[in-house]
Amino acid sequence: MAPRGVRQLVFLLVGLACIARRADATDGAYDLSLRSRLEVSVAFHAPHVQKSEFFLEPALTSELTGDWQAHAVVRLLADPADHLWPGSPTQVDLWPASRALEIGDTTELDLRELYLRGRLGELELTLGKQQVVWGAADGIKILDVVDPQDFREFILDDFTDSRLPLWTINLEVPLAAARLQLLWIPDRSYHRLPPPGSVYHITSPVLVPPSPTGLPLVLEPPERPRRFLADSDLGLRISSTLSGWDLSLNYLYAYDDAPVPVRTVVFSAGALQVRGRPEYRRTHYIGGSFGTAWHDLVFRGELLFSTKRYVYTRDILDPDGIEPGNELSYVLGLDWFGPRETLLSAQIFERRTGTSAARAPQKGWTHITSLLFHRGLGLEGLVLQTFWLHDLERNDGLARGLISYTWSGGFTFSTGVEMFYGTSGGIFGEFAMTDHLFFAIEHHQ
Amino acid sequence: MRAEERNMKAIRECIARSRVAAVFLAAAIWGSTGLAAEALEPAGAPGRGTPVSAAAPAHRTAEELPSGAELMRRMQMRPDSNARVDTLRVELHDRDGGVRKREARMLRKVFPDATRTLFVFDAPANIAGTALLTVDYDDLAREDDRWLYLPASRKSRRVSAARRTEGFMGGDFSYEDIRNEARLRPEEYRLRTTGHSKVGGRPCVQAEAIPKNTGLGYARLEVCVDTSIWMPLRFVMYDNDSVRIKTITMADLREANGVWTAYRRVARNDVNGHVTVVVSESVERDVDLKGGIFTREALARGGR
Repeated sequence: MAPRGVRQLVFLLVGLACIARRADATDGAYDLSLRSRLEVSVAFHAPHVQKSEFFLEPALTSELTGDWQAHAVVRLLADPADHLWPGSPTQVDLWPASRALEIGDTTELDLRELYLRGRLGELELTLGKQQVVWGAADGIKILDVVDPQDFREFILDDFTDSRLPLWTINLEVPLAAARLQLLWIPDRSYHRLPPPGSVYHITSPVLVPPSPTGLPLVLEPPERPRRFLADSDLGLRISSTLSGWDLSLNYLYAYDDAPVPVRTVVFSAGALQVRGRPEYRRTHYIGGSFGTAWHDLVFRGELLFSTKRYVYTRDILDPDGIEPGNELSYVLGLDWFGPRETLLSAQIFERRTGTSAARAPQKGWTHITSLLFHRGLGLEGLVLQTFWLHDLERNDGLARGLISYTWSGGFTFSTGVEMFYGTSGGIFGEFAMTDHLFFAIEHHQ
Repeated sequence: MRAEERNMKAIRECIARSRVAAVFLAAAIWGSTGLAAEALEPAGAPGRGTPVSAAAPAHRTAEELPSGAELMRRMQMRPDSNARVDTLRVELHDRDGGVRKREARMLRKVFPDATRTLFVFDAPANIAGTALLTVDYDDLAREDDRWLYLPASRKSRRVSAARRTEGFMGGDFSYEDIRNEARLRPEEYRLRTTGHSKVGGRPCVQAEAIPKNTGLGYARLEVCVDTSIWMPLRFVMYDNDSVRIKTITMADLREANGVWTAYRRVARNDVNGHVTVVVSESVERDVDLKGGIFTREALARGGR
């Protein structure tokens, strides 16, 4: 058991005990719930159990004094199949205070959330480890850039489960007809990217640089920001509803959650050697969103402009192998609400990375479309959902189908299929051999 | 201010208040299920206490029928509070006898241009935290705004408000039923009184309501109004083929802070046999609800 993990566990237990004690002192004004889930997925190209996941997620909410409450969520996650993150999971991408307690290679205990929420006059404060969600796009993140993501299951896991909550001070204040949200995030956790050998190890040249051919590559550990104040993130959102339009303006000054692959070519031991050193770099995210309804339709969109994004170049003479550029991405969505709680939603997502580099494979436009069909809108009973993502440039994509049923006892049974298609160089196509069926039982109490 | 102006102002305020009013749902009478007897109050005098003056009966004899316009006007003028919180127990009965139980809170507040209603489900655990915010504008030409928060995705999503006759959250009450709040707006219905009747032993004036807008989902309604408190006791909805499609009744009528309130409302889908029972475990009126609760950004906090 790692000392850091022990500290985390102690912190977690003390936090829970304090909340429970405080709740007890306030005449039992607390709510304890438990979410448990068992999921098995079976790959069908080379049949084997790809995932055998079990998790328990107790949540405790306690009414403290007046307008204040405390909330804690802990997750125990075990996956004996051990293919999604084989061996001992590394947590170097996470801030030490946000790391989970590892129990062997296949189990972890994680403090998912622990925060105080309350009011100071008109101000609404949420202090602690929490999820902050911006934007409402389906299956694709544009504005949802505040919290990093665990890519252990690529983008298949629910974003609520794969989003990595951060230690954050979240302040909301009414501002005339709008609301202002201010964020200060000292938590320097970034995306968790699965290692080589895992099912969803990302190798597509669209996202990561390929290893240089003919030269030995030495990968160095990532260069992490270290300063508590100077390297913290700041965010701001102003949102309002005006004449039937939901509008928001968003700004985030943060480190990009994906490291920049800085490359150096050195002469060592009588031979040329390529060294790769991932570095986190600052970015300004400026964006906004809109949404409005018209009869049965909802039209919505999100836009994000980010500065100082870095793309890699194939130019071997480039001193660091990366080129700066700005990035513009947006999504437009049209939702149709039909009879009997039917939702049909189409989205088009575009991203353009601008750089002057002549040999930067990531520059130019990326176009992805999506189609979602849903019946049931997440309440009890039978739910049918299909989701299709398609990359128009690389002609690859992801198709998902799910059917689930919730019994009145709180058990939800679901089964479905998740299939990637396309060439191995595509964002989705590289996982074409990971297609699988899954079966899951989830219980809430 | 002249007396006439003061009177007009009082009437306008009263009408504005009454639009948000008392009971958000109605309860149903039907003869064939075991729920019928439970749904209805025993025969006799209406609840406890004395009806407040604004709801005082205008028609002293059983034989005298008010006009349809008078009936609607009196329903509209029924007193109400500007802010309320109901703690609800909801039962969804299917025709095979299966029952799903839910617990929810309904928070409602009148704003200068609209009424905002927030529903938050507290149980069972798999839907706890699900919240729906509806902004019902006083300007009837303006489409309602509606947002749904699903805790599973942690996103507040704008949803279409056009399908007002769809079942609300899987139940048999529609958004339109909830919005009506046991009142019928003269802008939306033509009302004609047709006679006297009884619901659960309570005398009431029977009327036929024809929606002016075909988009409301019903071709015709029958409503029976207790004219001692100007509260509808039963709605029966018919489609274009005069097929009875839904019955809503309200029972367990009591005064809460001087406002008549149905503590038990039942909706029966007469086509598929589904029944939704909504029981108010508690009703708080004239509550100090902060406006910030009724925003899409606050949906995740579930009315807290």
